[in-house]
Amino acid sequence: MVILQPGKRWDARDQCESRRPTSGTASGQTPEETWDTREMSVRYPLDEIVAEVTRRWMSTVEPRPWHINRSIDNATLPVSEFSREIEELRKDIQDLRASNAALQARVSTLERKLTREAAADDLWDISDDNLATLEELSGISTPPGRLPEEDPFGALKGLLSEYSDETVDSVELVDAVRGK
Amino acid sequence: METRRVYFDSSIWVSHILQEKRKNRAQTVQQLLDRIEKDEEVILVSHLVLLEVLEVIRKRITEREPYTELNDEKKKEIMDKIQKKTNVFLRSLSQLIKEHKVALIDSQEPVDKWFKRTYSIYISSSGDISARNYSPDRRGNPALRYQGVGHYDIQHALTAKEFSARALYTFDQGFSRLDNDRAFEGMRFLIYQ
Repeated sequence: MVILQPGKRWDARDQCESRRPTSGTASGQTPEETWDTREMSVRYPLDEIVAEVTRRWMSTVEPRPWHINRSIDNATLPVSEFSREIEELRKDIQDLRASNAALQARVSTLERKLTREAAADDLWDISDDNLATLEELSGISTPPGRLPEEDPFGALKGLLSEYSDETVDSVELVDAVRGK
Repeated sequence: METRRVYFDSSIWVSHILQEKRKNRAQTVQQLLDRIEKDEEVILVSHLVLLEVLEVIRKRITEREPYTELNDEKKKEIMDKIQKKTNVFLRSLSQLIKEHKVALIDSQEPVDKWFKRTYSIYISSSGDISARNYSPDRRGNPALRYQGVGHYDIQHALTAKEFSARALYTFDQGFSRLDNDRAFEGMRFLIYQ
């Protein structure tokens, strides 16, 4: 079977643009013949046809002054541009995260300092308020003054001595109420 | 001049009220109290310490009661003993607070931040696993034991730090795990044997 491709004459315009027909073919045809008709098997794969036409087109000299970048590698250029931009944005995000973390840490430190200083400054206000609540909840009240012999530390000393012995371990007792 | 402050862990108070004989701890506490009084320092007592000591009082009195037939009368008798000791403890503590020898404190931070800070310290601390041959499990097999910083320890230390304590005094060796934590920079952990 013969397939006839659209014929093309090597005309004067092609000459002006320095176009040259593809030199030589596998079958040994002349350039004129190559551009006129093409004989091939129906089994000739389409992609091979496309590849051959592309090869021919690529081998022709570029018409000036229009510049067409035909490089196949250049087709990936937009993708690499995107990749570069994504990388830059990722770096920006990392920088922002780092500065955000630094700012957060600074805010936390200042907040802690403020709380600490407020707590330190208001020690006796806080303590007196807590005492009032404690007395209210427990129903106990303490008179404003006391006799010199009434030593509160002394009253606490050995408060549970009748429940103590040689084996008592304060750490173990505290651990027990802490659930350790 | 600002009054210097120290924080007593619950073990110090428990040792004092029980007059603990182990390793002369009661004497150690007495010397500590004398020194603090002489230097006119303030002892910080947190609500956490207060509750822990009260709980030790309840449990200790109950567990040391001779085992006899348990009835309502016996229960009331024990509860009365607990109440009596609790009242003495609270009155003495109140007196010390009024005299500004002791300050009763609690964290001024919001609860969510408080737990966030506790969690952050807890999660960054790892403990140790040891064989506990002396304490077998229920089937009599040797048991392993995990020992690490407890969240209560962290909260005691955070409270002490918040109120600018120069030192936290304790008998509990577990606090040594907090000693190098940056959250407690500037505060010393004085851990007695």
